Amino acid sequence: MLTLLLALMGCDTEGCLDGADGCRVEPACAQLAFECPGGVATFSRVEPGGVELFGNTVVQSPGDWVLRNSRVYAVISDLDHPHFLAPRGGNLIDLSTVEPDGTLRQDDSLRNLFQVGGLLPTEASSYERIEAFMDGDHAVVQVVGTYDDDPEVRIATRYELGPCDPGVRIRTEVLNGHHEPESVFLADALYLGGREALGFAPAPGVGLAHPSFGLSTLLDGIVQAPWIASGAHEEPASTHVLASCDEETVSGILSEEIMAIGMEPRLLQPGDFLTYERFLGVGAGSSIAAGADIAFEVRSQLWGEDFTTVTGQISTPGDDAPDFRAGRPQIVVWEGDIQPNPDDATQMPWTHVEPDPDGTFTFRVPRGGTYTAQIERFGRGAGRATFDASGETASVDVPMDAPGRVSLEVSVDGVPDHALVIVYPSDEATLEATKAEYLQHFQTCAPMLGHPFGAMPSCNRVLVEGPTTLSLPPGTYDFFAAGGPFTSVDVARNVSVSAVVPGESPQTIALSIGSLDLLDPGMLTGDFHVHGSASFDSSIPDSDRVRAFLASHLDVIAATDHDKVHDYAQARADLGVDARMQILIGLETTGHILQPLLNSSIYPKVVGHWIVWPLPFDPEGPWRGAPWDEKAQPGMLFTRFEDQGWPADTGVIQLNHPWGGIQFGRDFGWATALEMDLTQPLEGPDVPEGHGLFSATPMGARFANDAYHVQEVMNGTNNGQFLQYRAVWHYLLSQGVVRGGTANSDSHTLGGNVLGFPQNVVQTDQAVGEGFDQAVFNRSVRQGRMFGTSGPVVVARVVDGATEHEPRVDAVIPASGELRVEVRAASWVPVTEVRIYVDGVLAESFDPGLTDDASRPGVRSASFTRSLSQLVQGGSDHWVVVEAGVPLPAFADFDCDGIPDTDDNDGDGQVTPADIEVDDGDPRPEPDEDGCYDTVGPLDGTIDPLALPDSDYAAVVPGGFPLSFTNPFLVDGDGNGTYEGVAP
Amino acid sequence: MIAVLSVAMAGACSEDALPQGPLTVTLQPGDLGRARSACLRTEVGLGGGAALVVDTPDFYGRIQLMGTVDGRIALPGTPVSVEVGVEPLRIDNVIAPIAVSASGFGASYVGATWQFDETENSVLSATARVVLPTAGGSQNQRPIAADLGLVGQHRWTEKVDVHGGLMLYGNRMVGPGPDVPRTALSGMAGLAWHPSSHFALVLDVPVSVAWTGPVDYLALSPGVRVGAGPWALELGVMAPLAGADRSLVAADLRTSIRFD
Repeated sequence: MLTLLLALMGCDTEGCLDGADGCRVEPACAQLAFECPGGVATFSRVEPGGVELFGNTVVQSPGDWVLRNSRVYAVISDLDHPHFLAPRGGNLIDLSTVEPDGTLRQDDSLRNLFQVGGLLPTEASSYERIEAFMDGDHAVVQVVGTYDDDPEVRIATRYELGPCDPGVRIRTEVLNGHHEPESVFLADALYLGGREALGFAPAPGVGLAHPSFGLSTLLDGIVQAPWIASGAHEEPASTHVLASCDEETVSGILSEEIMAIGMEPRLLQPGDFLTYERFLGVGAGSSIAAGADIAFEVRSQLWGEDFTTVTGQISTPGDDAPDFRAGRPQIVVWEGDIQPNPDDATQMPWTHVEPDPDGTFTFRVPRGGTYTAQIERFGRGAGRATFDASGETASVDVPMDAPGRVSLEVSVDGVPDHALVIVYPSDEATLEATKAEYLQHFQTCAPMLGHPFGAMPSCNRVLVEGPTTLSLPPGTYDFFAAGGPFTSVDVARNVSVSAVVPGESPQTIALSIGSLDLLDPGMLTGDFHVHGSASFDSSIPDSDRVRAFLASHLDVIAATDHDKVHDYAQARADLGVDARMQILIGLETTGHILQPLLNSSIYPKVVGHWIVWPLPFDPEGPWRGAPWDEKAQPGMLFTRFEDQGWPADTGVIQLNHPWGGIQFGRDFGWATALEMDLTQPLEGPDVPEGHGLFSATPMGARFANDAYHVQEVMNGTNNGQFLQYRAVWHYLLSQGVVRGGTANSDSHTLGGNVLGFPQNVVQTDQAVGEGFDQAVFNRSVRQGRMFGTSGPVVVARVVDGATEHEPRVDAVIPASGELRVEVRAASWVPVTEVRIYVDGVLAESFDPGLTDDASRPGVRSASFTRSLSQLVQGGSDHWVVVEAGVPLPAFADFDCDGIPDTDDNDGDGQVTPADIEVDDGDPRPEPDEDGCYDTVGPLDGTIDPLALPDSDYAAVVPGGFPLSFTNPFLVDGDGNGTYEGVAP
Repeated sequence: MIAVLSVAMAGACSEDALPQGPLTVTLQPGDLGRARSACLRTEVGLGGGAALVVDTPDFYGRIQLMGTVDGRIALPGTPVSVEVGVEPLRIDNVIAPIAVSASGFGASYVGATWQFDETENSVLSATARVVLPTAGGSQNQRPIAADLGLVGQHRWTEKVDVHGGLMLYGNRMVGPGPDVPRTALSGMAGLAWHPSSHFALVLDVPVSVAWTGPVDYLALSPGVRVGAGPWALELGVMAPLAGADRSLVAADLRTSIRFD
C-alpha cells in the first residue's frame, strides 16, 4: 500500500526547486507593464576589456552577467565572484540608470543585493548554477542553489528585465527540505556598509529613522511598509526601492550596515516552499523620491493606488545668491499639516527629496490629503510648507532660512595650499544651536556642514586650497587651520557669522600655517590605514580624499580600502600631485561571513581585519586585484595575497586593531576573535584554544596565521582603545612574537578620524617622489624602524661605545650602553610625561620638561639619558619601549583576561565597577569568586569630541590625546645572540 | 524481533480499559511510523502532546503543541479494526533569530489493523495508516504520508507484557512544488508492567533509521497508565538518546473510553 501510495503521488512541478536541468523559475511580477518608445531588453556576459561601469562602488568584472534595457543596467555577479556577505555569486552587484540616449549614467550606488532566508550565515543563498536567456522580450538571468552549507534548503532566483522596466523584476523560490519546520524571512539583503546609503520606509515613526533592535529582539526591528528604499545621499547616486508584487507590504529590517527587505517572516513546514516576487526600482539621483516614485507607479498598477506628482521650488528670502547644494538641504515629506518630529511614532513620513542645483524638486505622494514638506539643512529644520495632494499634480514652494557665509583663505608656508579647516562653535549657545546629525544618522557634529562620510564640507571640516566659500548656520565660531602634527596651527576665534545680507560679500577669514622642523633627515611620515569611497563605509570622492592626503602633509599613504584594491590614479593625475606623496596600493580584508572558529564558542566568527600592501591594482578584477577574503583564517588570507601578486619578501601584512569592537557580530580584532587570555602563555599545556590557532598554519595555506609583519598599536584619532592594542602588542613581545608597532588614523572621510592622527615616522633614508623605492621603505616598516605618534616626536637610541642602535624588531642589542631619548613637539602639542616600559612593566615615568627649542622655531624639546643596564636586570632577554605624551587615562581589567576593558565612564576620576555600563533594565554585574566580571566596559576614550575644545590640540585632534611610542629595543640579556621572549 | 514475537505470542490482549502496546507518544504528526497496539478494541480518545527541540549551536529551537481526537472500532466478526484521528489544533513555534509560529488544524489519519495471528499469550497484527494532507499553516504544499508494519504483543508473565513492532513509513508532498519524498524504517521494543487492571508502567525503546539520517533516533520512552471501568489515562514521554533528530523530549497525555 505504501509503495502504491507513494507511487501515485508524483506529478510535475513548477519552478526550479527540484534542481532539474533546463528548469525555469516562473516570471516575476507579470502584472506589471511599462512602456517606452523602442525599448529593448538584452542580456550579456562581461568579456575581458568589457567593463562598462566605472566608479568606486562598481565591482563589475569579466564573467559577470548584465541585464540591460533603455532605463537600467544591472550586473549580476558570476558564481565565483561573491561580494561582502554573499558566500557565492549570482547577486546583484551594480545598478546604473541609463540616459534616454542609451548612455550609462554611471550612478551605481549598489554594494550588493542577495537573497537570504533569515539572518544566520547558513541562511544566505549560495547559488550553484547561473544562466541567462530571453523569455519573450524579457531578458532573464536565473540562479539556482541552496542555503550556504545547507543543501537541504533549495533556493532559486530569477532576475528579469522587460524592455522598459525602470528596475529589475525578481522572483525567488525557497524549499524547506529539512524534516523540521524553519523560520523563513525570505528577503533581499542589501549591504550598505554602515556609513553610506540610508534606508527609508514609509511607515509611522520610521522614514529615515531605523527602529532599534538587538540580536534577541530582531522582531522589534521589523518594519512593514508598502515599499522600502535605500538612498545613497552622495552623488553620483542612484536610489533603490523594493515593492512586493504578491503582497501588499514588504517587511524590512533597517540599519546603517545592512537592510533585509522581504516577505513577512513565517514558518515553513518540511517539504513546503515559498515564492516571493518583487520589483527592484532604480532611480537616478540621491533622493529617496527617485526610487519611491517608481514604487508609486508599481503600486498604482498592482493595487490601484493613485498618487500625486508634486513639483516645487525652494525659495530663499534674504539670500540673493543661494547655493542650493551648500549645507546639503533635504526635504522630508510628511502626511498631514504637522510640525514634523522624527521621534513621534505616530507621524508618517512618505518620501525624501534633495533639490536640484537650482532649488527645484519633484516627488510623488499618495493622492489625497494634506502633506508637510520640511527642509533639513545643516542637520536641522530650515523651513517648511504644507500642500494639498488631491489631484494628479500639485506644487509647493518651501521657504528656506538664509545661511551664514564666509570665505576661507589659508596659506601654508606662505603660499595658498591644501589645508584642513575645522570649525567649532565659540560658545555654548552656538553649540546648542548647531549640533546635529545628518538625517538622524551617523555622528553628531557642530556645526553639521555636510555628510560626515561624504564629500567636503563634511561634519565640521572643510578642505581648502585658495579662497573657499563656506556656508554654515549663523553663529559664533572658531576656525582652526591645520596640516598635521608637524605643522603649526592657526586659529581665528570668535568669528561672528550672520545670515547673509543681499549685496554683501562674505567676510574673509585668513589663516596661516607652516611646516615645523621636527623630523630628522631620512624620516618619512606614513599612514598605513586609510579608506576612501572604494570602501563600503565611505562616500568621500577621490578628489577630496587626495586633497585630504595633501592637507595632512603625509609623505606615504597606504590606500587600504575594505575588500577592494584602489589606486586613486585618476584623482592624483587630475590634481597633478604624484610628486608630493607616495601611495602604497593595498587592501584591508574585512571578514563578513561568520564561520565556526573555536570549538569552545557557539558563536561563529570572522578573523578580524588585515592590511596588506602592495597588491597589483587590477582595474577589471572582481575585487580589483584583491583576493576573496572570506571563509579563511589569516594564514590562508596571506596565501591568497601571494596568489594575487603580493611580494612575500618585500610586502607588508599588518594586524589591525587587534582587540575589541564587534559590529553586527563581526569581530574587528583577531585576538578578540580568538578569545585570547593574556594572563596565560601563548604556548603550553592547557592554554586557551585560541592561543593554539594564533600561530597555526591553516590547511592548504603556505603561511601561518602569525606570519604578519606589523601590528597596529595606535588606531584612530581618539586612541580610545590604545590601551588594549598596546596590551596585545606588549604581551606578544614578551611571548617572543616580535612585530613592529604601527600607528594609523583609520581615516575614512573628512568627518571622522583625522588623516595622519596618529601616523608613523619611518626611518628609511629616502624621499618621496621619483626614485622612491617602495621595497626599501617596506623593509624599514618590517624592521620596525619607526615610531608612532599623534603629535610628539620621540627619537630614541642606545649608544654603546661607538655603536648606535635604533629601535627595531629584527636585531638585538647587548644589555649595555646608554639610552638616549630626545622628545620634540610642536608648541601646540602638550607633552608632560615620558614613560619607559621594560617587558611591559612601567619602569619609569617623568615630566621631560619640554622647553622652546631655539634652533627649531615653533618647537619645544627635551632630552634625557638612562643606563640600559640599570633598566634591564638579570641574565635573560628583555625589551624596552619609550612613550611620550600626556598621562594615560585610568583603566581597569575587570574580566581578568589581561586586557584593559573599562575606563572612567562615569567621570568621577577613578575606575571602579560602577564604570561598567549596562543596558537599561539589566542588573548591575556582580563579581565571581575570583573577583572577575562577565560584563565589562566600555573602554573607548573619555574625551568628548563634541565638547568645545579647550586647546589647539583638542581642536585639531578631536577626542584624542598626545602620544608617541617607539618600537622596541630587543635586549639580548642572555647573550645568545637572539631575542626569545621574556622569561616567565 | 517479529519472528520471535510470532513464535511466543498467544492470548495477549486484555479486556481492561488500560491501553496496551506501545505508548502513543511520538515525534511524527499523526503517529506516523509509530508501532501501535496489536490488539483490537473499540474506543475513543482525547489527548494532547508537546515536543521540544533545543539546538543552541544552530540557534534553533522548537515548541510544538497539539490536541488530538481519535477513535477505533473493532469490526464485529472480523480480526480487523479501523481507526481515525484528527488534530483539531496544532501549534508550531520555531525559536530562531527571527521567531515565528503557526497554528491551525493538524494532521488527520485513517488506518486499519489486521490481527492475523493469535496464540494463547501472543498476538501479531499488520497495521497501516495514511496521514492525510490536512495540516494547516502550509504555504504551497502539504505532505501525505503512510506507514505499514507488523506489531505484536506477548504476555510474558501475569503482570508483564512485552510489545514491539517494525514499521516502514514514508511521505510525499502534495502541491505544485517539487517533491521531497522520505522513507524510513522504525522499530520498537517495550514492556508494560501492570500490577493491577487499574495501573501500568511502560518502558518503550523506539528507534528509527533513514528519515533524517542513518539513525534518526534511539529513544527511551517511559509512561504510566491508569484506568477505572471503561476510562483510562496514559502519560508518555519520549527522549531521544542518540541520532540525527534534534528533539530533546516529547510528551503525550491521552485519555480514552473503551466501549467493547
